[in-house]
Amino acid sequence: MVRYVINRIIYLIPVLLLLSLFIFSISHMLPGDPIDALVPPDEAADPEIREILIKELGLDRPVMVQYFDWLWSLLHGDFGQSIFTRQPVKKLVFQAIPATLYLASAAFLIALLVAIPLGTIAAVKKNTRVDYAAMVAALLGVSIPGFWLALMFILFFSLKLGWLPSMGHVDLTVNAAASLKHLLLPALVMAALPCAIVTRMIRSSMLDELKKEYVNTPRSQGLPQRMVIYKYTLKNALIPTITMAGLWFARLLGGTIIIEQIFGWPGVGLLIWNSINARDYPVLQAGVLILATAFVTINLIVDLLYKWVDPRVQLS
Amino acid sequence: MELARPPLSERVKAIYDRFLDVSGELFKNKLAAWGAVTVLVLVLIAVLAPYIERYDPIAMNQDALLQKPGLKHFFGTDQYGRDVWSRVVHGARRALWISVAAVLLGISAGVPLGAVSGYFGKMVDNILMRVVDAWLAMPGILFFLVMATIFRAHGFAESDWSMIIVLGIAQIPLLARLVRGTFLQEKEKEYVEACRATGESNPYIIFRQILPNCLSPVIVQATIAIGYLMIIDAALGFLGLGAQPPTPSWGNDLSAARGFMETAPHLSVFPGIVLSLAVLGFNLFGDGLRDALDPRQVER
Repeated sequence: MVRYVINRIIYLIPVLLLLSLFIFSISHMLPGDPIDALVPPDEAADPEIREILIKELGLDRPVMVQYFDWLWSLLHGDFGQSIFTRQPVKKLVFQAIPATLYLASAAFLIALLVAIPLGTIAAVKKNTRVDYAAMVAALLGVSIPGFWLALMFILFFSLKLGWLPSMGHVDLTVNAAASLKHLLLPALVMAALPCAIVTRMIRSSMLDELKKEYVNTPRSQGLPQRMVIYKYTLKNALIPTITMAGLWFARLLGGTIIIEQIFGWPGVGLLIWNSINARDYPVLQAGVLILATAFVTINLIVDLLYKWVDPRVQLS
Repeated sequence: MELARPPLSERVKAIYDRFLDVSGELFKNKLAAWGAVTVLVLVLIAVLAPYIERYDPIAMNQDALLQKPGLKHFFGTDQYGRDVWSRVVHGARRALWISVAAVLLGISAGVPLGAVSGYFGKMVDNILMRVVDAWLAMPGILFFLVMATIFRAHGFAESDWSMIIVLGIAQIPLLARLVRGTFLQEKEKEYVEACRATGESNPYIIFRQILPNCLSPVIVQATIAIGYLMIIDAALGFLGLGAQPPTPSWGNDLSAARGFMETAPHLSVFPGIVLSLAVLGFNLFGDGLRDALDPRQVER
C-alpha cells in the first residue's frame, strides 16, 4: 500500500511537469503583450518606457530561461507578482480559492443529494414511469449546456420571480442568508451535469448489484426489500460511483470559468478569465496550475479511497 | 501473405448488411430511435438552411426590432430586426459543420496515434499516456479558451477553420487513449498471433487486421463528441471568441441576448433550446449506437 502511494506520487511528477510546460507555453503564445494592458496607450507607445518595463518584468530573457526561472520559484512557493495589479500572485489566488471551493462543494452536495436517491429509485423501479422520468431528466442534465441553463435560471428565478439575486457573492461569515441566496443559482447550474451523470451511474451499478446472488439471501430470510437495498445493495453500488463522483468534484473546480463569469463569482475561474484578457501571465499560470494540481491530487485521493472502501480492488 | 480479397460487390453488401443489422438494433430502442431522428432532422435543417430560412439571417430590419415570436417571425427578431428563426437555422448549419469537421480531424490524428501506441507499447505508450493525463488535468474549457484567444489574435478568427482546429486538437488525446485501450486487448488475441506467425508487416496487422475491430467505440465516442463540441463552440461564441459577427452562431446570439434578458427574453430562449435538443439527439444516438454495435453489453 505505502509503495503504491509513493509510486503514484512519483508518477504525478512528469504529469505536473508536462502540464507546467504546457501552461507556460500556451500562456506565452497569447497575443498582445502585458505592457499594453498595463499602461495607458500613449505610454505603451513610448519605446523608452516599454524597454524599462520589459526589463523590469523580465520579459526580455529567453523564453526557456523564463520557464525554468518560473518553475524554480514555484518550487520555492513563490508564484511571482501580478503584472497587472502588482500584487503577489499567491495572495490573489488564495483569495479566490475559498469562493470556488464554496461554490463547487455546494454544487457537489446538491448533485449527490439528488442523484443517489434518484438513481436508486430508478433502478429499483426499473422500466416504470419513475425510471423513465429519472432517465429523461438525467439525459437533459447531460445535454443542456451550463451557460444556457444559467441564463434560463436567471431569467426565471431572478428576473421573472425575483426570488434570487442574479449576480454576486457574499461571504458566508458576513451574512449567511444572503450568502446562501447568492450561492443557490450558480450551484444549481453547476450541479446539473454531475447530478445527471451520477444518477445514471448509480442506477446502472444498482441494477448490476440487484442481479447478484447475495441479494436473495437476506430477502429469503425475510428481510424487507427496503432493508436489503439500503443495507447491502446501495453500499456496494456506491463503490464505483465514488470514483466518478470524486472525478466530478475535481472537474467542478475547473468547470467554473464560464459560470463564475456569468454570475460574477470571485473565484479562481473568474481570476483566470480576467488574467487571460489582461495577459497577466503569472496569474493565469498560477490559477491553472492550482486547479490542475487539485485535479490530479483529488484523483489520487479518490483512487486510494476506492481501495480503502472496497478491499477487493486490486491496485496495479 | 495476403488473402485474396472478396470482390467489391460482396464487400459493399457486407457493409450494407451490417448497416441494416445495426440500425435494426438501434431502432428497437425507443430513445435511440428518437436520437437518430433528431440527428437526421438537424442534418436536414443544416443542409436545407437556405430553403428553410424565411429571411436573410444577416439582413437588418429597422421596422421590426425585438419583435415577439409570432407567425411572421417564428422565433421573433433581435435587436437589429434580424429573424431569429433564420439565424437559428443557419446557426445549426455552422454548428454541425464545425463539430463534425473537428471530430473528423480528431479521428484522423487520434486513431493512428492510439493504434501505434497500443500496439508497440513501451516508450511511445508511456509518453502518450502522460500527455493524456496532463491534458485531462487541464480545467474544463480552459484549453479551448486560450487556444481560441491565440488563434483570434493571430487573425484566424475570420474562418471556421480556426475553430475546427481548436476543437479538433482537443479530441486527439481522448480518441488516442480510447483506441489504445482497445488495442491493448485486441493485440493479445490469436488472430494477431497468427498474422505475426505468417510474417505480416506491422502496419498491415495494425491497420488492416486490428483497427477494424476497434472502430465501434470510436464511432460511439465520435457521435457523442459532436454534441459536446457543439456546446464548446457555443460556449466560446458566448464568451466572444467564436465566429465574427454578423455570422449566425448560437453562441454569439446567446451572448448578445444577455443584454436583452428583461425586454426580449425570447432571444435567449430559442437558440438554447435548439442547441440543447441537438446535443440531446447526439447523446441518445451515441448511447444507442453503443448498445447496437456492442451486443456483448447487457441490455438495460
